[in-house]
Amino acid sequence: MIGGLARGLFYSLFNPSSFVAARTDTYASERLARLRLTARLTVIYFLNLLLYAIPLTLAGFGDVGGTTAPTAFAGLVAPVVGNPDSAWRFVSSLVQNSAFLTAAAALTLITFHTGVIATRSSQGFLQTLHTVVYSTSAYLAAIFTAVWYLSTSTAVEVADGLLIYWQAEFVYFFIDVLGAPVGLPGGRPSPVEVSQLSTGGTVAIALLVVALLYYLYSLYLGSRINHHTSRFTAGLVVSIVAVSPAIYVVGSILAATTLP
Amino acid sequence: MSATTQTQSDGDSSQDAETALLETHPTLKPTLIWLGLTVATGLLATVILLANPELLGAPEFTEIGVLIVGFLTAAGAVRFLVRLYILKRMRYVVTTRGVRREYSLLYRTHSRELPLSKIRSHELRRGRIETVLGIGSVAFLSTGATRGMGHIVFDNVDDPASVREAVKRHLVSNDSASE
Repeated sequence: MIGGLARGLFYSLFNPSSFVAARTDTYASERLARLRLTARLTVIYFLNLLLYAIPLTLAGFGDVGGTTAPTAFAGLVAPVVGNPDSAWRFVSSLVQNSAFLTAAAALTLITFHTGVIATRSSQGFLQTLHTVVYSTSAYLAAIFTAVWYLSTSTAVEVADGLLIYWQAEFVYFFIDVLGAPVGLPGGRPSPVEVSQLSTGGTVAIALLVVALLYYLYSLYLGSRINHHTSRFTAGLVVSIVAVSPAIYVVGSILAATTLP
Repeated sequence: MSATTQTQSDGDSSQDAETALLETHPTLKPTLIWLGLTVATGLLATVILLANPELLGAPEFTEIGVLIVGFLTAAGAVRFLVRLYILKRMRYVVTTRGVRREYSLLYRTHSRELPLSKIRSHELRRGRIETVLGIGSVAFLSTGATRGMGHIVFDNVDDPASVREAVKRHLVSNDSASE
């Protein structure tokens, strides 16, 4: 098992094509085998999700505080754990910490598969599921971990401010293009003084960008290897995934300005 | 060069002889070229960034850019170095029984063999750059699909045509003998 983890870590860093490649010959077989593989991929995803969310939860993030466990839950866990309320708080925090990554993974799955279908290249949903499970488990989780570190560590406050500034500018770009009379709760941010950027912050931002590049590249490889697309088509599929945040922002702006 | 090994089946007085028809190794040329290109590109990008601190808007952004280039170059270099190590230990063998691809790594041996009797087709693949380098890949297939369960690919062999001919000759002689 340790050998398998070490091999997975090596491949994720130094050979992403092996990391995301699916056994397409296996997926071509009967329905029962496909169901079994879907279940296996789902288990792999949730195991990696727990690997990401449990340390966050133990560190106190997402703590909902002061909640009482529902009766059914308390009855179920009371014989096993001493304090059902603490167990409920842990589970609630775990779910909250997992929510953003799961939402991002679901969005990647939908946009990636839409991309391969729209380009008439789809070799099957399992090929997409395999690609997204492995790319989000490794690289998207690394992105979220870097963002979490930037938002919590006091040693990288300038870097955190820079990241917030970039995100806000991204939203305001579309607000300005659409001429919408809306704004973010904190208003338009002022530029960050980057000369104050610490070494830790510089390294954290560099690693964040590297994780993002790996994430997009792994999706490109997933399209090329698992769906047998050309380089151009794979680039198109990745572009569809990459513009999905923009589509989300534009949709949110339009909803805010048109809905009562 | 050929070597003969003999095995004896239980309860059978006849002897099976397996003769090695051809043994070769993948060439390191393409991987060395990729390694050189990766390191050279990384160094060039780093030099350009360091020579132009305001290129990305601020010296601090250039510093981030240098770190990104450095990490990606290092990752690429490690990947190609590991591939070189594996390729040096890889053997492609054609025998009278089958085609075999094997290598050993970290005290583990990986060997995959396709019996000649199962081979239904073979492909010779050479891209433009491979043609210039005089190398190519030979794929032996046991099903109709190139990505079916039974296929072995001899990647980056020098003179792939002779590898393919060695197998073809033996497949033809097997067919003649069975008629």
